[in-house]
Amino acid sequence: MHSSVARLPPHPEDEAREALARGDHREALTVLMQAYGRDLHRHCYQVLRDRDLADDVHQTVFVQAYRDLPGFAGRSSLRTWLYGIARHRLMDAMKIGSRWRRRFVRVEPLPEAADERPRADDALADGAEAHALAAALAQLSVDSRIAVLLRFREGMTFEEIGAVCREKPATVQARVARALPRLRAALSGGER
Amino acid sequence: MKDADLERGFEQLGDGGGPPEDWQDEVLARIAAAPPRRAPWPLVLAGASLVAATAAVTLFFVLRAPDKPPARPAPAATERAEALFERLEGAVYGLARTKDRAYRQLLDAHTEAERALAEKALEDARRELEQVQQQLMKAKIRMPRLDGGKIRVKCDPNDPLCGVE
Repeated sequence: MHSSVARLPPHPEDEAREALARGDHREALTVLMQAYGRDLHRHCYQVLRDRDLADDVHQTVFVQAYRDLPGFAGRSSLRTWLYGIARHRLMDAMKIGSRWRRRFVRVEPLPEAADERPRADDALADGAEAHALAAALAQLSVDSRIAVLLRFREGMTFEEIGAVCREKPATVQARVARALPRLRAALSGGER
Repeated sequence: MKDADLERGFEQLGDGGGPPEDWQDEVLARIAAAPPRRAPWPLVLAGASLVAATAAVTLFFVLRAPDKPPARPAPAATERAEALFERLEGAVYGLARTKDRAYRQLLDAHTEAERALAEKALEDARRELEQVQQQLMKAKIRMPRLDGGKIRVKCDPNDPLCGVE
């Protein structure tokens, strides 16, 4: 019929679901790792701002995904499902990190152990919006940070973010709307 | 401040350099090294045992028939009250018979002396019967409850026949 029409490569979502239908979970995982591995790592890093921790959480997400793939109900896309797992692991990592800091924080910080997070003023002096934004994001709650990043960095709709966070889209939208003025204020600080 | 700056800021956010080269192999190695997930049978068994034990204890307490209160021997006061009641009741019947007999004697009297004697006997019987009936009316004995409640006898405490408190 239309032999001249070039066949599109299969969408990773469809490819992974076909592998799942065959019962080939390892193949499904491989497809997911190739399709979403890099984006998911970036998301982990931008939430945690810690390279080693992000690597660990990133791998843990896929290990858990492989374990839970047989129970995947298909109510959402596999991508959303993966980000949902990542959200839980990221929150765990943040919780453990804050607990560790509470227990082992020094009363008098060492001179060289100052806060490594980029300060908004310094970042703006360099003229880098990204650094100021990273500093402002670090001030948000984990839930808000994840929601904002999913919306503006990963390009998810509020429905998808709601599925990731197990919340109503309107709730997520309100959370993002509350966070945006703080981010804008952080960025506009350099224009004063 | 424009939203374009915000969007540019998000685009320029660092990505941490991407995942390590061999991260997929590491994930597969971690999966291979992880022990297979087993059903938590010990936990399930412990839970089931706990539920069964709770159900058995509940059933035991629910099905156990409540013990009837042991039959208590009638207190002495009750016995005395019953004896008094029977005695007065017997006296009433006896005096009623005496009164009937006196009335019959009065009807059968042929002489004035017999008539006077019969009238006196009838009057005595009637008076005595009234007295006993009054005593019987006063001695309203309330039977004790099965659970051994306090016995109350409604009678004049100054009455020598009221032997029951």
